[in-house]
Amino acid sequence: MPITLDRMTKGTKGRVVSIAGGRGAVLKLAAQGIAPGMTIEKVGHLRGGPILVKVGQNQVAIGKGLASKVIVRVVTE
Amino acid sequence: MKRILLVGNPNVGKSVIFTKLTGVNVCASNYPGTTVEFCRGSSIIGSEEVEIIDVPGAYSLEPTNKAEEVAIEMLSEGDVIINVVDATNLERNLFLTTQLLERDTPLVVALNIWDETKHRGIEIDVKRLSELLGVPVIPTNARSGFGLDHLVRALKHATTPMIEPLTVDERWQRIGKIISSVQRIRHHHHTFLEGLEDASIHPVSGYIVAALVIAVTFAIIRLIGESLIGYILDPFFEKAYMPLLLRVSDYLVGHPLLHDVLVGKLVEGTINFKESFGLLSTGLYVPIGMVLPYVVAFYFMLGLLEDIGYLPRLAVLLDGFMHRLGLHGYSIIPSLLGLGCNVPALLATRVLESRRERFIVATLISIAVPCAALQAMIVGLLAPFGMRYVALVYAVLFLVWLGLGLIIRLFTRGFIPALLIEIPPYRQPYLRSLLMKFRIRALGFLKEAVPVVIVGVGVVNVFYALGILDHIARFTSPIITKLLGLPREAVIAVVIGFLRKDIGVGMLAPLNMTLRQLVVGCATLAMFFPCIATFVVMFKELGPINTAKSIGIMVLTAFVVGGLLNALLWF
Repeated sequence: MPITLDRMTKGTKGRVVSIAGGRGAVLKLAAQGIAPGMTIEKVGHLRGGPILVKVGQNQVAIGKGLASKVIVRVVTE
Repeated sequence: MKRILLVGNPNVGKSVIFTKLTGVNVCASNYPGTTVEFCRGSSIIGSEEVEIIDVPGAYSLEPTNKAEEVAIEMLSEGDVIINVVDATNLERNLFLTTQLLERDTPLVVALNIWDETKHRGIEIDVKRLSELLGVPVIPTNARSGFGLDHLVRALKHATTPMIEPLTVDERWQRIGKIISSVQRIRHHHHTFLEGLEDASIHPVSGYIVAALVIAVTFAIIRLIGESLIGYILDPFFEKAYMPLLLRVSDYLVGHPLLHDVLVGKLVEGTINFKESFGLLSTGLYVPIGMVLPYVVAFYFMLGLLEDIGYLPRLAVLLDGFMHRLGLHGYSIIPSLLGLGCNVPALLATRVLESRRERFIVATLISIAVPCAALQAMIVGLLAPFGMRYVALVYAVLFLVWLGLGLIIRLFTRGFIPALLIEIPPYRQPYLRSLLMKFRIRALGFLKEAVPVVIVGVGVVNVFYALGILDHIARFTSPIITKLLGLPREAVIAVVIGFLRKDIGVGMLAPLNMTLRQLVVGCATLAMFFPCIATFVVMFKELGPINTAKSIGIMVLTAFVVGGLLNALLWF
């Protein structure tokens, strides 16, 4: 079942299904490797704030609002 | 002349390659019509002189901010592109590379930070990568110089396959295929540095690290600043400059007016650099002898934190907190810059996306973030009574920053843009690029501050001589004496505060004020009106209406908080 990135449990991996945002958000996320089809790992969650994500070797912090627009399907290994 | 462009993501060592390849270079020139900075230099390759341009860092050729727009515009002006790629983060970097492969400018790829791949357990098949991309790929390690000669030789083999444009999904699929055939990641033990990287962004230890980093940074700034003053500047001013100025003073004895303007008034029969108030005494001593040392120390430490890669972590840690002020975490960076000088801080607000956010940050900076000059004066004035009074002024400013942020947020409409920021790995800073950046900033301060201070001191002297200040003093004395409880002469300091707050505060020194008056005066002047340079930049950045609003908030805040302090202080 797809969930939003901010609700993903820390330490799990997911495959991005879609981005429910405007063109600007989609472009910015895409350039950091957060695009449909990509596998991402949630590595942290700061209180009241951003979510830390790893895409390959790239580590990115995503504000909570933006993270709630990233729809992922959790990958179970 | 052939033009070579260095193109790549931010934080991939582009500027280090730039400093290594070029001899004489001009930096921090702004791209026409923007404040996006870039460096330009020249070099001899083979027997040919070439121009090398360090294009601002970009993640993508579909622009998402001003710097990327400039980067894209510059691309069409180059003959050859060196695409600098971070070998420890190949996948993300290839996004830009694959976009460059669609264009008609020939390129070579510099696979930089090559030595780090070993420590991080990354193996890359360079030959295969070059085949798949269709352009030369050269492993480099810019800081040690490894691979740079090879890179320069490869420039004549630069080429472009001009592949068909891809959609975002196709692009990532293609990159995925390339990565899986050229890169292998071995499991490796976490290095100490990687442990530190994780600890400094962890929900608990991250804040402890941040507190430590900030405390150590300011301790070092103080240490550097005080040492520069104690061992170099004060001896210079007292032993070398003073005798010279005293001779000028003797020489001008027959021309009292000229003496007052140039040398200033003698205090107890001699020149007092802080109080005499002549162009050549106080006008030079304040910017160079008191302020420059702290500005130098501040910019050095800021550059160091920037190059290590710490600042994005601070922005991320503070994001939740800053949201309460209607801002996002990244706005902490312009605010920190403001502790050096408010002018570059206001320019740095350009990286913020919404107008509302820029208005809030700019207003808060000019009210409650004291620049190094102002801080030096506040410390100089209050420290003799005890550091707790200095701390009191800082605490008042911090509370104003917080409270005002909350209030402005309630009364302005707009959205809080989302944070999206790369957390770069820690890197050992490269001294030469660090020094280059530092030199640009320090020189910028000297060019900016010295003339304004001298003009400010000059204006005071002229006003004084013409009796204009007395007029203003009579006119505004109810506010100054009743509301703030300051002596009437303090009006002059307030008026000068329009030009430069630091001199304004400095002018409180000779007034023989009580401790309570000094605290009220310092705090009020710090909040009251931006200095003239900040004002000009603010006007340009925010436009007339928002500047007027911002100034209105400023003056109101200064008098309300000053009045409250005067009413509430117990000493």
